[in-house]
Amino acid sequence: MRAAEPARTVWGLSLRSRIVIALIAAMIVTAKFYLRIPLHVPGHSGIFWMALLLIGVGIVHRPGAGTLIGFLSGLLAIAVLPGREGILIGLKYFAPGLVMDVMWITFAGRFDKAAVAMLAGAAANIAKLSTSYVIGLLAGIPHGYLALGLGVAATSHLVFGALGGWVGSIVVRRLDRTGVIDRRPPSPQPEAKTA
Amino acid sequence: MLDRLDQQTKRILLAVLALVLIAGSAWALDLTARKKSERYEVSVTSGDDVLATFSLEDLKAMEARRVLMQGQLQEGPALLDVLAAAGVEDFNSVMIYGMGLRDEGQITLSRAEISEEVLLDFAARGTVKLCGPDIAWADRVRDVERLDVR
Repeated sequence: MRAAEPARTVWGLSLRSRIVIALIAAMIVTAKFYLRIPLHVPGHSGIFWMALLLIGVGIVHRPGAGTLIGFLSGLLAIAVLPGREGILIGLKYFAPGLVMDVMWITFAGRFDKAAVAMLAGAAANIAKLSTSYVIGLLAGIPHGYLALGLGVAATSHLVFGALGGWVGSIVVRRLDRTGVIDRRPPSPQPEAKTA
Repeated sequence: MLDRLDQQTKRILLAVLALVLIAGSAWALDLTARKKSERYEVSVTSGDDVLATFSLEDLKAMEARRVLMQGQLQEGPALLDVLAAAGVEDFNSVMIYGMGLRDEGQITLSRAEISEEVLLDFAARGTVKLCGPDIAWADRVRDVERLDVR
C-alpha cells in the first residue's frame, strides 16, 4: 500500500483554500452585479461583499487570504464589467481584501467574534469608498465634486460594512462549529534540495 | 488571560477610534466642499447661446413636483417648468448634461418623452438629478449642469 502524499501547498495554501478563495472572489463579483437591493444608499452592497470576504478569510484562516480574494475579484471585475473606472476598478476590490487581512492579523483571526467582525467589515467597506475617492482624484475629477455627499457615504459605508461583518461572523461561527474552518498552522513549504 | 482580553479590547477601541476619525474627516471634507460649491448652477443653452442660468435656490423657488421611482419619492421642479422659466417653449429635444461622476453624464430626451413627471430632483449632495417614471434607474443623470435645447 502506497503512503498518502503530503498535500501540495502554494504560499502555504492548500488546494481547498485556493478553491475557497477563487469561489469567494467569483461570488463577490456576482453578488455586486446581481444581488441588488433597491435601497439607493451608497455602500449598501457592503452587506454581501463584506460578509463574503469575511467568510472567505474566516474559512481559509491564513494571513493573505483577504488580499488574494480582493486581487482575484478585482481581476474578475475588470474582465466582466470595467465600467467608467476601467482597470482602476480592480483597486476597489483589492483594497477591502487588504484591509480585511490587516484586521485578521490585528485581531488574531477572531472573526467569529461579532464585534471584531463588524469592525473588520466596516473598515474594509470604508477602504472601498476611500479607493473610489482616490480613483476619482486620479481621474482628474475636482475634489469639491467628489467630496459632496462624502459624509453620508462614509457613514453608510461604515454601517453596511459592519452589518456585512456581523452576518459574516454568524456564518463563520456556524462553520467553525461544523469543523469547516481549518485552524491548523500552515503546512511547511518543502525544503529545497541541496547538492 | 485578563491581559490578553484587555489588549483585545484596546485594539477594538483603537479600531473604532480610527473609523470614527475617517468618518469625521469625510464629513469635514463634505462640509468644506458644500461651502465652496454654493455656486452650483444649472444652465439652459441652445447651442452656444446661454438662455438662462439657475442656482439651486432659483430651482428651489420653483413649484416642486413629486414622482415615485423604485419606491423612492423624487422631488423637484419639472424639467418643462425649468425650460419655460428660461423662455423655452418649443423644442424638439433636450440634451441633459451632468458631471458624469457616477453615471454616463448625459441623456437626450425628445419632446414627446418629456412629461410633467420628468423632474430635476434635489439630491442630498446639493445638486439636482434628472429622473422620471419612464427613465430607467441606470439612465438617470446626476449632478445636472446643463440643459441644451434643440
